[in-house]
Amino acid sequence: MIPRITVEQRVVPTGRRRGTILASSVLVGLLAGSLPILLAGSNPQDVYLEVVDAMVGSVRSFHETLRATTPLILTALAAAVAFRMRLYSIGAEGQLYIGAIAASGTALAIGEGHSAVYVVPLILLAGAAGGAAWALVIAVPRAYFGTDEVVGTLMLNFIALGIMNWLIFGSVSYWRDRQNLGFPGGKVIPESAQLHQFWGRADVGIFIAGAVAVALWLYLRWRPRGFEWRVIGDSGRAAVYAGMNVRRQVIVGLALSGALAGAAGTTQIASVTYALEPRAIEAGGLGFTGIVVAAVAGLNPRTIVPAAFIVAGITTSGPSLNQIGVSPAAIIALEGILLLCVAGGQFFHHFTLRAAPADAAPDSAIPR
Amino acid sequence: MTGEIVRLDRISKHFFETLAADSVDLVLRSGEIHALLGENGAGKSTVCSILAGLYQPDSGTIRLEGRPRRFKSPSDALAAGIGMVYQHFRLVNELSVAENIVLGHPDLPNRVSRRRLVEICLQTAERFGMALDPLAVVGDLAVGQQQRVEIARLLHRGVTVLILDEPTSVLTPQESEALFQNVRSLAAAGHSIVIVTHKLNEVLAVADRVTVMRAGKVVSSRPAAEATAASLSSEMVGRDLEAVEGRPARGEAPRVVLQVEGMTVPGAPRSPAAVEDVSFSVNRGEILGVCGVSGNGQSELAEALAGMKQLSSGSIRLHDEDISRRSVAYRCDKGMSYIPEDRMSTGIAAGLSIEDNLMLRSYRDPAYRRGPVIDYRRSSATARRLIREFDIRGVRAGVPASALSGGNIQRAILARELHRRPSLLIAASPTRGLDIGAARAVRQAMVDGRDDGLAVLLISEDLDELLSLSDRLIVMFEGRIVGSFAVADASVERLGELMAGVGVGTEAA
Repeated sequence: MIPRITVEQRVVPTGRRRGTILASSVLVGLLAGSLPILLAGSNPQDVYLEVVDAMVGSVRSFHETLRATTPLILTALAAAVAFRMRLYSIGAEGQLYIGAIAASGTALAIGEGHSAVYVVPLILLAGAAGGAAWALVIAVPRAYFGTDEVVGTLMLNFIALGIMNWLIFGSVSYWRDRQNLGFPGGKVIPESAQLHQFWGRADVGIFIAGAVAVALWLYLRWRPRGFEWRVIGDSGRAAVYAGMNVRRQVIVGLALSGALAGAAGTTQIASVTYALEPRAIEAGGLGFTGIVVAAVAGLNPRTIVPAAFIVAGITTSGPSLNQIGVSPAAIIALEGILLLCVAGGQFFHHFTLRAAPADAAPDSAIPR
Repeated sequence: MTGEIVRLDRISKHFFETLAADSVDLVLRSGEIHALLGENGAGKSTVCSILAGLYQPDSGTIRLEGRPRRFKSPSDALAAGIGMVYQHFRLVNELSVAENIVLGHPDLPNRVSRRRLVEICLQTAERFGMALDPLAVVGDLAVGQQQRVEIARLLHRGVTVLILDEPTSVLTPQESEALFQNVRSLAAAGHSIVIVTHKLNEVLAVADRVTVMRAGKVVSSRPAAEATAASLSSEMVGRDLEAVEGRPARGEAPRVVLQVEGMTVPGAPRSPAAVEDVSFSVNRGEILGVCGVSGNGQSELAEALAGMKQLSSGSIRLHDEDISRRSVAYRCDKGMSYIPEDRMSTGIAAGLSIEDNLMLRSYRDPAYRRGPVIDYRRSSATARRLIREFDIRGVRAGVPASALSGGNIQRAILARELHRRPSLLIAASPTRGLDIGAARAVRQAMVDGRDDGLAVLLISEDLDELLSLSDRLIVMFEGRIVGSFAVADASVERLGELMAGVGVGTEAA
């Protein structure tokens, strides 16, 4: 008799199995990820060791990884805030561009001769405000008319990209470096707005992002608003019944999500490009990778920090892997497979498989 | 009236522990309009769903033209000529009338021209004497027209036995009349029609034969000509008035807690108001029962009182303060508590813990704050106390509320609503679907609250419950209050008639 496999919902969704599930998912991911590496003609073991080396092998590479972690933490937090309320905003990308425009514009306007102690907070605020404003374009119609936020935020990404490109490539704007007669680029922001002055290449950005993650975790855990967002994320009707102003919370939640993505735009300007450089800012795909990081971390701000570090590490190991003959495409495939396995493994937080005898009554199967 | 076409023989069907159909016998003759009458949950829909192949009976046989048949699925039954029009239509709103009519027909070719579709549709319309606009998009039609499309679709499939589940519940009186004319001409052409309903006046107007069901059993089956509204309503409700426990007469003058005047609540788009021009009041230390068959505006009444639905006119006064424009939170903080009808998706946030759910309506309370944060230690202490006091079972750390049984969830809702010492409780079907123990606990809590001075508005479909708990009763039918009684003056027969709309001037409305 062939046993039939049925899917059953766990009564207790999480618990001690969390660690086991994560470890097995990563293992399966590494095994499956070996396939593209083998196809690319390399030895998976060498590649994995090289990834670890490129991630934390030296102070320099560790700092490099941390620097790449910073914006990912912020965009992942942006996704987590929205997704926890079941608002599927995929607009972090565009909010990041607008944040970068606002932050670089503010930095340029402040100019030289100021102290970083207030310039850096100012441009962070400017970036966050820019991202939040961009998010509000969708948040308000979403709250009042139930407009679909997925399509809206996606479309605004393209508009934001268009604006950023136009400022540098399509016009002689305030942001464009007019002295540069070669390939168009942005004006370099003043020294006081650059983060590298604090802690080498890793810079102060990682502390900012880490602090934001902890603050957000505490906020969601302890503030009444965190409670409201949990209820809204579970059942909108129950939230209305509880007397919550769901509309306002939708607007506030999406705005906060946009602000976090906008702050990621600031750190890109202040610690990576030092000018509004559309190509470099766009290249990371940070907004979308943030969604993946958030999903892998179960939308938990604390878990997002290590998850962002690992994803950033794999990404930054690309160049050194290229040196040992592994194509960048294989690395992207590996990263995708790994994340897919970890995200897919979360299915087992809520469900378990059970072998049922083949002649079991069909009624016993859990309906989809 | 000619020969017998369908015979159900001792059909029984369980859902978990509930016996929804208990040895049901039913004979349907060709050319007959057969009304199946009963309260909600009497088993009418179960019997029809078995006949239409949606459910398989646990025991008993279905005979079609004398031969025993087993229908494995609705399409099996459809192939044998039995079709059912459900309360929620099985139509594709985006497609045209003609497309909906041919959809799923076994003889439909893979490609068919629009002209041919229109032809088929018009032929069907003409053959069965129904007015249909073949190219109209179904989603744009009024409900009555959609229902006609649904019937035409089944007739096009060659159905000879047509089951209509609560066909007039969504129709205006004019649409109902048009439906009945159609039904009569179909019956005259030899179709057999089963109408599931709880409205007595319809039964008497259109049916040839009436079968009354109660609690899963057939109570009576006889020609409609031999039935009277009074006999049917008492069979349908079927209870002798139980002696209501005597309560101490209160010496004090009644103090009005809730005063509703001229309240109108809009219904779904393109349908009449859900609640229309309703006025009543509830006093301190009193249970006002609202009876009526479900779907007659009671849900909307409760939601509007709780602040979850807007009024289009009228006023709600709580302790002499007009709260009709106030938020849910405001009403809640002013002493209104509410047990929603839909306990799983409104009454609780099913994915959160019981502790979280117990503070769902009091998390705003400064008592649960410590500085800027929520005092979870305090709230979980309250939760532990409530779990003990209200005997909520099955609570485990980290387990979402959805894992609890319905009875325990309702106990939790009750605990949450009553521990805040409210002055008004609105309870919408608070015991529906509960086991006996939990239902008793809910009733006891309402009575205890009442004796402590709580004003209770109890909406229920259970007449026994209403008669034994309420001090006064109002009856709702089609969004209006059609009767108001002190409980001692209420007779089951009269309530049954009013609930079924007998002697209510709806046509004039």
